[in-house]
Amino acid sequence: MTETEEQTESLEDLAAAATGGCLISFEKIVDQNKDRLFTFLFQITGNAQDAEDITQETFIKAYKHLASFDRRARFSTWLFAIAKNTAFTHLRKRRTHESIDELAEMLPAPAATVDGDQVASLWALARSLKPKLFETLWLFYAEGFSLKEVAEIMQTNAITVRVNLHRARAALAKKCKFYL
Amino acid sequence: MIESTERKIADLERRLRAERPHFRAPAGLTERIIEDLPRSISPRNTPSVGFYSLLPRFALVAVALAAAALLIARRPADSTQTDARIVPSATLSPVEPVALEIPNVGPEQIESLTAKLDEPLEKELKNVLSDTRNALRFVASNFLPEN
Repeated sequence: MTETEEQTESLEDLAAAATGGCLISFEKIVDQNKDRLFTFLFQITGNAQDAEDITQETFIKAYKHLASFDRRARFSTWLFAIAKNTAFTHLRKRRTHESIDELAEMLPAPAATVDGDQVASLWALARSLKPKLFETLWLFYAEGFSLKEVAEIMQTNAITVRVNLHRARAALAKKCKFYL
Repeated sequence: MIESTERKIADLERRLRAERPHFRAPAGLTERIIEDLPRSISPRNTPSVGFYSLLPRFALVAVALAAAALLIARRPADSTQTDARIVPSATLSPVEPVALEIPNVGPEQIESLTAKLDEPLEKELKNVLSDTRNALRFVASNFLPEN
């Protein structure tokens, strides 16, 4: 198979092959999505080691539950939903002394750099928003998911996502006025 | 004023999309993930078939074997006939096909054949009747009074 043919293989096709037991297909899924997932999880956790652990755990969970993926949604939507839930569980285990309400309000302090790559200042500002608003902003603008897909990942509805997006933009615009 | 607000939002959206940070996952992560996947073997280059996808095939084979076993068990045992297939043989010579010549038998030949088969039976019946008559005559002549 040529490089062009490999690139045109969709994630859904690879997932179907991996469900049949093709490990090479699953390896391609990992290769095509690991950087994207790692970036998202690093934004949530603020820690490269945690992001790596959760990325690994996410792919292993996805592999175990491949048979439950139905092609009504995109594979990336399903993968990000697993990643988000895994991250929440991971953070909750690390901070067992805090209540769940407190966890929802907290977001780890952003790291200035990761392996020398400078974090963009606008997104660095966005990370100071409430986690729910930041995640909505990230999934919609950085990942390019639709309102419906963001709702699926956040386990809410499209109207709530639209409201959260509006609040996130307003809060970010206010911060930009002061800091940028 | 509304236009300036919309313009600011549009500008913010453009910047959010354009300034998205990109980070690379640590080196070797793919290999670690593949190694940690739950399985007993790691066929990296050969596709493996899932267990549940083989179940229907196994079921069909099992049914076919059961049907064959039933058919063999129901075959009647005939002691007068010898069957080369049943009797195990250490050495089996290859069977060569033999061209059988079936004679063309006409209806007249069949009639004559059946007629020949019927003749002994008629003879037997006639003998039985004559024996019975003789026996009656004998009894009558020896045991019944003359008057």
